[in-house]
Amino acid sequence: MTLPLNAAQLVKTRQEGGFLRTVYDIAIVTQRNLLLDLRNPAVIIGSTGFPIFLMLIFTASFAKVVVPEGSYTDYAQFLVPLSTIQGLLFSTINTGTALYYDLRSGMVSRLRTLPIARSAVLAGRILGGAGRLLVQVIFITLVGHLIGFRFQNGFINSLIYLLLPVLFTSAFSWVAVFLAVKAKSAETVQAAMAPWLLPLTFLSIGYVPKEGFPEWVQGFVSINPVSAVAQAMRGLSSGGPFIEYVIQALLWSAALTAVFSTLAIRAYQKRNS
Amino acid sequence: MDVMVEARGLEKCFGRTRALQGIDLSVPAGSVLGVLGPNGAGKTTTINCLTTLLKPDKGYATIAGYDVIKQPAAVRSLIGVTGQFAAVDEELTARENLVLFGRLLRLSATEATKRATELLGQFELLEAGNRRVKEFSGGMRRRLDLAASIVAEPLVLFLDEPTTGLDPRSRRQLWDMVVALKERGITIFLTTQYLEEADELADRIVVIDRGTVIAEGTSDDLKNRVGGTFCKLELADPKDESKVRRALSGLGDITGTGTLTLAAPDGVTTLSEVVRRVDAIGVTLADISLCRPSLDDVFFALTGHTTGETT
Repeated sequence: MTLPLNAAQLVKTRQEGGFLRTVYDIAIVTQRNLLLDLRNPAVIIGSTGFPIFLMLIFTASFAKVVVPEGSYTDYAQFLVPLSTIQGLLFSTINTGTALYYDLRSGMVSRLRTLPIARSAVLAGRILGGAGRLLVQVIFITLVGHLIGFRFQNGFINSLIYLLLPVLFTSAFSWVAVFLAVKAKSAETVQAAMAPWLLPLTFLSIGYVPKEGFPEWVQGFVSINPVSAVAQAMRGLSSGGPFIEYVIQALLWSAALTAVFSTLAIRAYQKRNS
Repeated sequence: MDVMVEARGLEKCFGRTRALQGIDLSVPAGSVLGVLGPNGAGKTTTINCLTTLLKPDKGYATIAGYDVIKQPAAVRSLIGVTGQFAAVDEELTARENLVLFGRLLRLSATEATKRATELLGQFELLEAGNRRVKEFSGGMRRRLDLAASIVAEPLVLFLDEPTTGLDPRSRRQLWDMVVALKERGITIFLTTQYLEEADELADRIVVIDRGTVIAEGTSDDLKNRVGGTFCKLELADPKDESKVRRALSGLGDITGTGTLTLAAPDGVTTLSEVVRRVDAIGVTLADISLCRPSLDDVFFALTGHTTGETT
């Protein structure tokens, strides 16, 4: 290879920009993030194993309390949707820490000195995360199937069932991305996520119906977006109303994305390296 | 000669810390500029400004005439950057890392694979090419990092302390590779804390301290600023010192005890005069040599502190 000396020529052929190039750049970064997740099975197993474990424990211990007159299968039908969304939400911590390590290792700086779309680093992170979430949804649903969970509402609804939590959690991933950009250490990312994740996942209509909560938290339980996603998923899998909840979940996703992508992108651009 | 990199009055503050306080420098096309300075002098901040990672508060800089602030996208198509930490993916193989960057630089899958093989060969990583980077030694990682920054051959290559933490053998190996890149006509902007490294690789050296350029020139220019060549003699018996001092009177100031040094403006002529006079009084020397000041001496003379001190 001889050195091309014409700077203008190089700029013309290599410079970033344009819609197709941007899509291409994001796709390659996404592919890299997915590949790294796959190479590191601890990530997938850890973040999928935890909700599966909880799901099994809860089924064993609470089934008779929550659905006294029903079978384990009835409880599984009730529980699997929530376990799914819960597991996905917890795995956004991985999205945050992975980004944090990329920022610290100098990988993000390297990517930022390449002639690629400015949006590729963060968008690739969210989309790579979405790919991992999809793998997790499928895993958790398969285990759910083993304890008695069944799709009873047609193919299209089943498909929406699988995609809705991925979409919502991807929107929520912007919170993790924002915290990672601001974080001083990997542990901070994890610690900062907890106050978001715990109330969202546990104070929702999931393990227990709304009436099972003390009155003062019932307000939060009913506006909690996780309640909307869980109820939408229940409707989509078992029958019953879901359109209203699907719309709520989509609105929440849009709102989370709008607010936290703005914060994250602003913090990212302000970073000093 | 074309100027490839130019900076004028670059300033950058982080809160109250004034990291850059007006950096001026220029690098002719095809040459190697060594930026020498201790930790915290502003070397990395300068690189970050020139590679569009940071926006300077004041001043301007250009790469091949493209303004780093107003035309950052154009600048990025012309540069390659190897940062202070080897930024490669540990869970990927060396080849996969290079293919990834090739793909990001819009090579097709086949082209990217071909280019990766070429680079693995060039950087002596062919055998290790299919191993994951986490199994690599520090030296191999740095070589891969360097390879990754020239996947698309740049006009200007920025190397931020490329050999920090490497053992002497790996350092020498990396130097050879930098020299090979220079011979291909790539302009190189190199920061280092190692005086030996700047001496070895750079055509011109800029010494920076506390965010400003405090000296500039070739390695020889800088050494001459401290004083030229001197003659160093080591006595076999320290008791002969006063006798020797007397014999050498008139040749210039003599400093040191045990090992005596004196300026040798006439080089070898001065040296042979010293040998003749010492011989005449029958004193035995353990060693005698002509020395040029090291860049360490230069740094100390310019700043009043050594390269190791950050204050």
